[in-house]
Amino acid sequence: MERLRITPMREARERIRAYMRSNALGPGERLPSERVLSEDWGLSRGTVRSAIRAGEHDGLLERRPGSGTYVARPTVERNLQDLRPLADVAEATGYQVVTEILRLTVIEANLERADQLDVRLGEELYSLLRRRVFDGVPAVVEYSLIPVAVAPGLSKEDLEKQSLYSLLEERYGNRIAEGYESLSLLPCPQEAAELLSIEEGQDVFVQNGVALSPERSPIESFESVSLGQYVSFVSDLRAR
Amino acid sequence: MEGPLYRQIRREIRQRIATGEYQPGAFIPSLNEMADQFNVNRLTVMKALEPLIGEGVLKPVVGRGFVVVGARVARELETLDGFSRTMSELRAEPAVKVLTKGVRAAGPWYAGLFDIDPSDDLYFIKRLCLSAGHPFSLEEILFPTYLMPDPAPLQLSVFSLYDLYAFHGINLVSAWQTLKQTKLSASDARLLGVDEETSVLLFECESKDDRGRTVESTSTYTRGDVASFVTRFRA
Repeated sequence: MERLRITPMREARERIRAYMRSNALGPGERLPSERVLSEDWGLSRGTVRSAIRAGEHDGLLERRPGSGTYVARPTVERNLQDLRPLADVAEATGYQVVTEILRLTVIEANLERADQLDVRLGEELYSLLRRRVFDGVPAVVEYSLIPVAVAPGLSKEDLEKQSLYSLLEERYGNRIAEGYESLSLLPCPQEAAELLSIEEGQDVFVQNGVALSPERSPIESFESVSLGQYVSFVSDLRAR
Repeated sequence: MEGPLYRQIRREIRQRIATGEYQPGAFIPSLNEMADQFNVNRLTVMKALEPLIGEGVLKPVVGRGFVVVGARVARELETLDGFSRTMSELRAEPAVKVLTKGVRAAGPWYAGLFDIDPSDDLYFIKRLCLSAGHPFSLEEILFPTYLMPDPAPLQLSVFSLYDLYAFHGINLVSAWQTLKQTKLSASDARLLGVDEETSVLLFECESKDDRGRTVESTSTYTRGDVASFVTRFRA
């Protein structure tokens, strides 16, 4: 089988990762200068610079002009298979999280929502809009629809004190046990773009799904819009 | 689930679309098949479908049935056997074009990952996956040569590496997969048919076998405009 030549760019990218691993560099720690790295590795400075840029795109590194290259803060890794609250995961990653309740209104279910939530056409739903701010930067916008009958009397004040899922479980006895969702990379819709302070149409992660009770009756339909700069996704795959 | 039968069927069809069982661009089963499946008559099935046609979720094609509207392949995120099997099951006419195939030294990064010496060899395969003739994803696959000392089977245009591993007695049992947003180099962007400034999805996957060894590292760059991913979650 053909022996491949490892391109200098590929070598530089792998060396950077190996360097970070063997020196156990954590978020905010600085890498040696481009000059030092290029001399140590026998690669051109241009190559090292391109590899650092690629590391920036991958969310691994962060360049601070005039100062150097640092290990980037990790993204908040949402496990697609569990229901760990986003705020908990973000806090565990080292972010300070503020959840803002931007809107809580009552709307009537259209046919699509009624089917999703297994309610009658026109039944009342809470329409909830929350924004998650990580270290002062808006990172996630979440839209939820919940039948009023599932959580009668739900209020903004309650949601400011407690997470939605724990409120649903503890106050209303409606525990969320499972669900399904789809995840796509989509151009950001206008309202979410404004709330995230980004350009409309910039690519963002969009999750769409339904959360179910242990008896598999729908409790919430949701749409989450996340910035890829702050949020990534993980899953544990198993052989079938 | 309560309510009239046609409503239960309509809900079920929506859910099958949402979970990727019925794929965008593919036909749903015929009225007769649906009637059999749900044990109702064709009129009830039609009554269930009508609002979905009105909403633009389904599109009738004269003489052929109903097609799910949408251009994105909905791929399941939960199993290991990946692209090939999912795609062929979904009749998305998958094809794979091998761009590079050969051996290379592991180097410092992969030596650590695979627990081998930096001078030990790895197979490297870079391939372009196409769906219905269009670039869908770009894959880079690396695995140690010690797992498959005879490279002959790799010379064939093998579609599913998963099957090839199984054939060599390597049983992939689990993998840790991360998904993030990134950008491609100019040349890779060209291969995938996007421009350099376009965000793409990067899946990084490390697979382990039943002996606990890391046996494969894969990076898959997928166009965001042609794919969505479906998954189920549990508390």
